[in-house]
Amino acid sequence: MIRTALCSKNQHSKKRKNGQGTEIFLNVFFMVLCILCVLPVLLVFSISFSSEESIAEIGYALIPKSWSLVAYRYILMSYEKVVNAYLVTIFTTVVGTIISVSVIALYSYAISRNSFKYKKFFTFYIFFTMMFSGGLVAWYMICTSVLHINNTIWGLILPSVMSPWYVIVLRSFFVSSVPNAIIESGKLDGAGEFRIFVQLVLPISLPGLATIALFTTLGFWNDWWLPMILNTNPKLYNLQFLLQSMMKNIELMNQSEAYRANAGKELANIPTDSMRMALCVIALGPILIVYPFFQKYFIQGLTIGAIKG
Amino acid sequence: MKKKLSCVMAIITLMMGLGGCGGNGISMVDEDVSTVPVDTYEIAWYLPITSQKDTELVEEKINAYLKDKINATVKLYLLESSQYKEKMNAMISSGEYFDLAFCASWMLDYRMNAENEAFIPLDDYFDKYMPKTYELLDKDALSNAKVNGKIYALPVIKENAQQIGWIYRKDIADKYGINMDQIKNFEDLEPYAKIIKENEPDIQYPVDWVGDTPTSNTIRHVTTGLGLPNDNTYPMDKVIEEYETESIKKSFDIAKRYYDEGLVRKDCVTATDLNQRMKDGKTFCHLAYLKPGKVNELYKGAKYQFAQSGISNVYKDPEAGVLSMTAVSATSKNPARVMRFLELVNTDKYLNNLIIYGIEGKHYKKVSDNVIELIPDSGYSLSGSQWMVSNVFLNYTTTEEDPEKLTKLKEFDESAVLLPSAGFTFNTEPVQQYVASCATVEAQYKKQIAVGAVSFEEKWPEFKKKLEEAGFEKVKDELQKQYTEFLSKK
Repeated sequence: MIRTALCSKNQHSKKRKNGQGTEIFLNVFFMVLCILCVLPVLLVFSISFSSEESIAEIGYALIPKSWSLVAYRYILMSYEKVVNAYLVTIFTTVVGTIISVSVIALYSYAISRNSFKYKKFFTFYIFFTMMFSGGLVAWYMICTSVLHINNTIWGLILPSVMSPWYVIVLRSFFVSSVPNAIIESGKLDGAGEFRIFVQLVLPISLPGLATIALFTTLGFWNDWWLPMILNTNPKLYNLQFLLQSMMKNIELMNQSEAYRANAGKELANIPTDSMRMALCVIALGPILIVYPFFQKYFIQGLTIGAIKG
Repeated sequence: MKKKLSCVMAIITLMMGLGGCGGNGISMVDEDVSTVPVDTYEIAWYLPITSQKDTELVEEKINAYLKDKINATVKLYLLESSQYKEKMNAMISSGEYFDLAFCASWMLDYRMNAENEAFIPLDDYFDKYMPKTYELLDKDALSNAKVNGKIYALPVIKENAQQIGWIYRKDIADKYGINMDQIKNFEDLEPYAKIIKENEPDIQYPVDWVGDTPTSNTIRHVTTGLGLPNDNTYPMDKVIEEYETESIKKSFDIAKRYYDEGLVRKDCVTATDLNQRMKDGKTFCHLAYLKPGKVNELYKGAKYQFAQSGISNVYKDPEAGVLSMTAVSATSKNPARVMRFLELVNTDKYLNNLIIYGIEGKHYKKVSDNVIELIPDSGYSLSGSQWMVSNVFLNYTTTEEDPEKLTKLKEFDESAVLLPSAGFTFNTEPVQQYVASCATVEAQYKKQIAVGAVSFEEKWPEFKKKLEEAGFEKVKDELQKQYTEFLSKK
């Protein structure tokens, strides 16, 4: 939407006369695009509130025959679990993003500076881990028997704090958009390295940091793998893992003959279709609120880039 | 720099070496079963069951009970079924400590882990630590569970019989006077299906099936397109090429007719919500594996009346034993105590029900000696998952269930006949790659053919050619070789 606005604004001021047709075309085009993006989300919402009978009868529909809260009731039957999972997810996302961005920024700033003596070694060191990894078993053993972070909240944070790919992206960002002159001027005024980094480099690198922060936020928010492999404590289930487990239970009931042959009545009464969508809505909610906040920086990043050419 | 690097490398290799060795040395300290040991030992038991709020309370009760018996405590690790396989595999391959774990042929690959000796072979210890459990175990199930001649995990004591049959809407059947007990195949069903299709607008599709619904009674399916004879219809010593048999051609023809006439849902190739459709009253009947009371479990509380009726013999599941087992880990620090615990769980009614239903008064109410009423949302109940834990014949029955459930199950189990090929398991290892590529080819064709979306006659030449290219003959030869060997040993 913002894009549409920007585009039409430009069109407006530059080519007022012959732009009428183009403007209509662009507006219509983006409107259609917008509808295409929004409709599926709306559909998910309305399916999640549909009754099972309605789904069975007329299939997925924007306006179901009858509304029902049964899917949410089923999920929230264990609302303590859901609330707890929310708290875990929010904590890991916030703390994880802060730690992750700081660590990545510090590392990539260091290897972006030409005056750093071991620049080459540390660049290679991080690059190497991108190409070769120790494999799952070695990784698992390090986490459980060396670091002992399994079944702790840190097990959901620390393993994904450092990402070589983001380090290299951010390094390129520092190299290209932090002028050496600023660093030198800082030095001339007697600032130490740390002060240069915090007070001069970081403020002008906000768009880059925000991009990395967005990616890591999404990464932490959507992570279900770490709790799956490292955690056995139900108190530390995060949201995605909990929802995924509910999902898996439905699938097992529907697909596995061995399971179905034995599984009891608990599984037989789940409102499957609407519940799938309700799970989506629950997972979707908060991240929708966070997204526009980051988007501001995205636009800024784009415009800053544009001015500097 | 190089020195530093090699130093780091050395440390990493050392650590990996140390960890990797963990699994190999089984330290078996013998215990005298007549005495209560002095030291307390905690048993870590992993199960793929959704976690329960009050697990710790129940553990306390269990521990108090075990204190005077074997002086052990139990820690129940209830993992989500979505994480179980990968978490346990990571634990096993890194040699992490645990004592007991659920495993089966379909979950946490029992045979592979047994071959890698991730579990302790139990054969030598039945006499000493689990004599009563051994008595209770189905001997066919036990022999099925053998890998390289040894039993690496304890089969859960439960019913092993199987029967294929209809699950159908009883109200509709009564309305049109259909006696489902008389109907033994889809051919017999056809005229009735048409009547229902015409007269019941609510039922969109009289019949429903999924791709894996069993089509044949006389063949035991083994792998892609190959099966073993169940009775004298086919030569008893020959592997059967399923797609070449008359019966399968006939069933595909019928499937096609059903599909064309709209008697079965058009998108059943991809649909996975069979039970849901049935519950919503959109179908009249479907085929399923039956056991007594199955229909009650499946469609409890549904709006319509459902019933079941068997069409095949009751036979013993050829995979009995490996469908649900409890393994003692090779990383266990005190296997003797763990086995003594297994013996108790399988023979002690109180302990068994404590683990399944929780604490009396808090998680369930006792109605009579063997019947209990579950308290809804009480915070603990493994009911519905008993078959993963231990001896289901010790369980209380709940008020929702048929009070005769266990006796019926037992009778059903005893009436089961043994398939001639029971105990035979196909070791796919020598022809692994061919089995995999045949399965890929089959996935491309089978489902569509089986549900009648495409004609078998048309597709078969193409299908057959691709199967042959994928190495079908090699798989067949290997299966024949193993089967002949199996028969000669018998």
